[in-house]
Amino acid sequence: MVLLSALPAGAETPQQPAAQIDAILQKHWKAHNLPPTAPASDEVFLRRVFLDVAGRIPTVAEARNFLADPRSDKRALLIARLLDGETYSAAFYPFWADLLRLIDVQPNTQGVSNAAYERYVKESLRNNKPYDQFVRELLSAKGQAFEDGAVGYYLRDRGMPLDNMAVTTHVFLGTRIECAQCHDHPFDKWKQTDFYKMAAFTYGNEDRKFLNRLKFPEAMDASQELARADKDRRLNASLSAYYNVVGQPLESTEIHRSTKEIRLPHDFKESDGRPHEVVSPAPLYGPVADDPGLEDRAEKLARWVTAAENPRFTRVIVNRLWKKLFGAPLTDAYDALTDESKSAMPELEGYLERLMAGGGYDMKAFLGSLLNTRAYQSVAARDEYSPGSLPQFQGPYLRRMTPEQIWDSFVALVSHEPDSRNGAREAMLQSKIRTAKTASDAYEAMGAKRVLDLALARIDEDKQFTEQRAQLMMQMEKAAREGDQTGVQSLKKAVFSLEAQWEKQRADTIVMPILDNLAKQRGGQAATPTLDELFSVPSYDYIRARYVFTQFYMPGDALAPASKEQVRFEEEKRRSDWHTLADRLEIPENERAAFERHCQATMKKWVRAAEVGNPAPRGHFLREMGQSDRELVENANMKAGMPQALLLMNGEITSSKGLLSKFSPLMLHVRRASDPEILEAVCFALFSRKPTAGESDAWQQAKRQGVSSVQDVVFALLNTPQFIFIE
Amino acid sequence: MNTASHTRNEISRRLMMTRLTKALLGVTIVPSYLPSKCLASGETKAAVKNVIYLFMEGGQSQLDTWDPKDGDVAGPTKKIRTSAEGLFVSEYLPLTAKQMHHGTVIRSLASTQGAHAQGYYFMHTSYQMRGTIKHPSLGAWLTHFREAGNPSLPSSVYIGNSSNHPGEGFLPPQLSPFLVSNPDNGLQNIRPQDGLTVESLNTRLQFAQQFGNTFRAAFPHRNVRAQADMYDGAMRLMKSADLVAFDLSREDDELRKAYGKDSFGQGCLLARRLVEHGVRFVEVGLNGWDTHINNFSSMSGLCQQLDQGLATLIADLSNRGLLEETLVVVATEFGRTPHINVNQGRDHYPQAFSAAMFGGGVKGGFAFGATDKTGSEIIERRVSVPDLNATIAHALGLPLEQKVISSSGRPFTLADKGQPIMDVFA
Repeated sequence: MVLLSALPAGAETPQQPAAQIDAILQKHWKAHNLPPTAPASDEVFLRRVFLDVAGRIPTVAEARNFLADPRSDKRALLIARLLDGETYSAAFYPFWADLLRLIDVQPNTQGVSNAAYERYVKESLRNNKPYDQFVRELLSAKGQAFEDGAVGYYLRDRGMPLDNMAVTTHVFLGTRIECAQCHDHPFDKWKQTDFYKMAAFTYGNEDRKFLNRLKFPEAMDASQELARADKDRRLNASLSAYYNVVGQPLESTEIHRSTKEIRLPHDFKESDGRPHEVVSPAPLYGPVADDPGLEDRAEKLARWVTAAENPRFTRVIVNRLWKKLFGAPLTDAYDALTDESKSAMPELEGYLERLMAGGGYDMKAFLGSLLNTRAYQSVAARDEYSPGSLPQFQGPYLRRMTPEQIWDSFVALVSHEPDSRNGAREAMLQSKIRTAKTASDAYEAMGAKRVLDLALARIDEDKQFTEQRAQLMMQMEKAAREGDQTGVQSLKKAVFSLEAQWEKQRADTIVMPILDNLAKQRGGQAATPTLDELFSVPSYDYIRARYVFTQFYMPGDALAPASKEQVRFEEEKRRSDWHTLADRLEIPENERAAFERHCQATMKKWVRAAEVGNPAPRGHFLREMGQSDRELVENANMKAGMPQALLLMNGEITSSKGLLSKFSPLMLHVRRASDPEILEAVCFALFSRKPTAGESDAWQQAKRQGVSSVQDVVFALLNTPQFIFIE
Repeated sequence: MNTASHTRNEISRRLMMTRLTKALLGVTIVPSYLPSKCLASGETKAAVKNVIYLFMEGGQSQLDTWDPKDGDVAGPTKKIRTSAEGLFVSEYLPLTAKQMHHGTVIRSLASTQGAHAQGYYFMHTSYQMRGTIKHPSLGAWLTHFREAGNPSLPSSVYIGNSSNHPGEGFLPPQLSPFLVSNPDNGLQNIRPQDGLTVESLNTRLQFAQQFGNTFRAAFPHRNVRAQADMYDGAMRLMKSADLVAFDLSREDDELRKAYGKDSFGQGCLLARRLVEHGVRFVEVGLNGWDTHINNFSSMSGLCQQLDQGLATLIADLSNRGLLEETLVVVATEFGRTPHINVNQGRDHYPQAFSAAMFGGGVKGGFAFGATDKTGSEIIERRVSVPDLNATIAHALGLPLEQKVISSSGRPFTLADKGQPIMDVFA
């Protein structure tokens, strides 16, 4: 098992370090005369561990199974199972995506590097990649996104290398140097030159501009000098047919190392340097590992950041994970460390750092140790953690669910397959990556010089087209001005037909040669789309040529899209799964069709937060509940706000189109309950436990007010603190 | 006696409401019956209370709107006379032309940002986009410095669909502008689901409240309390008489048509209603100005939306006596090239472009600054983006020099180093 094999030497099971952690905590509490909270019930533990490691509340079946399990080590077994499961990455992806600020789209790109980056982060989680290796890969990444998604780390901040460096020290070293970007840090020891020395490590990481590569190939010959003299940008028009197909998918998909050097800014005012002075790389503190063979600056940075000797590297990740599970960090300022930062429990923090580093930065093993502590499995502390204080962890601190935990819990109440991946999204990401790979191959196969010649040969013809079109458009403007609608319509047609003719010609002279060339190089076959096929793409679009690689499959493509047969097969399999599910749930025959429609609809809409988008679109439930916009590190907002109350009460999510759908797992569970059992049924579905005496009393009172239906009770219980807080 | 107790009740009711609003809606709060907030240093008393900020998303061509030219750079676009002697705008703004006596055109605006997201951000915040901090938009600054005009409504609203909006920046999340994607639908989730009423929700919430008592007693935490309070605020808003501010169906059909039936026009109308009900800052976005291709044929459609919405808004505000206390601003992320490209389009041009201001104490029929014959260069009185924002802030009497410390400990002012252009004010 992944979990066991990755434990540090000497620690055979997570119980051993867990016991050590508990012992240190006990000693601390005793010394300070602080009583720990009582052990948590199975019910409280179950809900908490599911929210932490699976990212959602347990289903009714999961809760029943666990609570009925007589084995004495059932908690440890559940922890191991959850850490090993697919839900682990669904639960931890939002955490990493917030830290690394993953987004779906960046201007002037087709989101290829973003797709590859997302896939890289998810795969790293699925494979439980050691944390130090993960960070090393990010910081030393170079090359093309479709080969190595880790370049997404630098491409995320393309054009902003200084900001990127401030983010790097923030995220991985808990060290804030952004103030020193413009002047010496006012409250910390960092000088502006320190910032620039750090930035010098990564300043050479450049994002390639594809159009320039195309217009100015490295070895231009005399006949191509025209490209240089192209003042009125006529060449751009002639290149655009090629660029739309090959260039756009490749825009901002590659990090290469230039020799560019960083200089102090023109307005540099401090005493330890001069404006425009070149700065050489140097770390903020400590030495860089001495390796004369190592030239690559980013690689040097990666090694320095992740070195076992770098004290802040381990301290920060230990605090992040501890905070995720216990509701507060051990060092309050772990996110903005200074030499004065104080730990609430230095002995424990030191032990955890050794556990993390000694365990080879095995994330699941480390989490397993924390989850198996008595401390984690205790009742939540009564006191409220306030940032700036030194927390005592007499129990884990009460937390509000993250936006993702709320959404994912709703998913588990609506969907019968709450942990299934979003196939449509994965296919879309895959297609982006594949398209870029094919485009890159096509570019490599032909070479910029030949492409440039093809474009140069077209320049006069393209100019004629442009002029003709401009003429027509001017006539159209005139007709519109004179109110001649028939004239406008016929001129519009003329423009369209001219553009179609033009596009076809350009496809014939530029696009097809590229495709044929690539096909030949890949195995001697002709290109799959013929010109006619290419133009059979429905819906008119004057740049439809760009769809070539997304709509058609080139021979030799590594990541082929699913064939029609495959798609049909998948669909049939799904239907049969739903059929089995309907049997199991005893859905009557006459409701089967409606049940299937519910499954179909939930499959698309009710997917885990990690599969919705980076971030979810504005206006989505997740965003309304405070999901990070991913512009800044950890930018989620967990505060209560009135729009949230409106959304929970009146939004679609809690309507019959959502949770209250007749076929949701929630409703299938509670609608079987007889009248006196309604509260118990709803309580179990939402909190995995029976109602308390006080809660039952409240229900008896409410019944007298006419609050008696299943819908009433679901509504009420969802809008209680019991639901939204993790006890 | 009766009167006194009535007043006390009135005050406590308002106080409670204001407190709730503060906690829930995030309105910066000084209840309106208390003496107005002390003026901070540099803050001036101002007649202008509201801003309606019309943002042309994508980069509006100044040459085809506010700064029309002759000759090649004009393309087919002609200039027309306006209600102000000697002031010309493009032929695509015939209705606005009749309102120009209410406004000032700034023709010497220059930005340092030539990409959409960066330009949009710079215009909205006066700061360059960074990966390490988010700066507040002007509406959030206003909300930060000023009490709400109406404590039961949000103090700033954004009507539009750009995902680039910087919102509250580093200020508390509660200062985030309220979002209206579709002006016809008003506020989201404000009505109970089918078959339910505000009363039935109330009964359910009473049960929820009872049900949560043991939990709240076990965890007497601030955030647990805030979670309970947010429902009170939501119910209050659902019942609020001021919700009509969001209801466009209460407007005369003829007037709705005059504003234009598109979402920008209706957004302008909604903006007026909101301002009337005490919302201080309303931004309305109009998308589609990125005319790299077919600039001229796009212009008539885009300008028609702008023209109808803007001209009707100015006239409507003026008729209602609101124009003096309301500043209407038309802005965009950057301008477009005088050079017409091969696709009959214009590309990004941050070097020299225009903005316009109406009402709010600005001069009528005035052109500030100028570009050369071809519109390529500013030849008179360059205005930076922070200057433009400082001008709006000055009109509102906001303290330009006051530093506010972000959560990362860095000091910022609302328009960075921008200086107001005093000459635009009458």
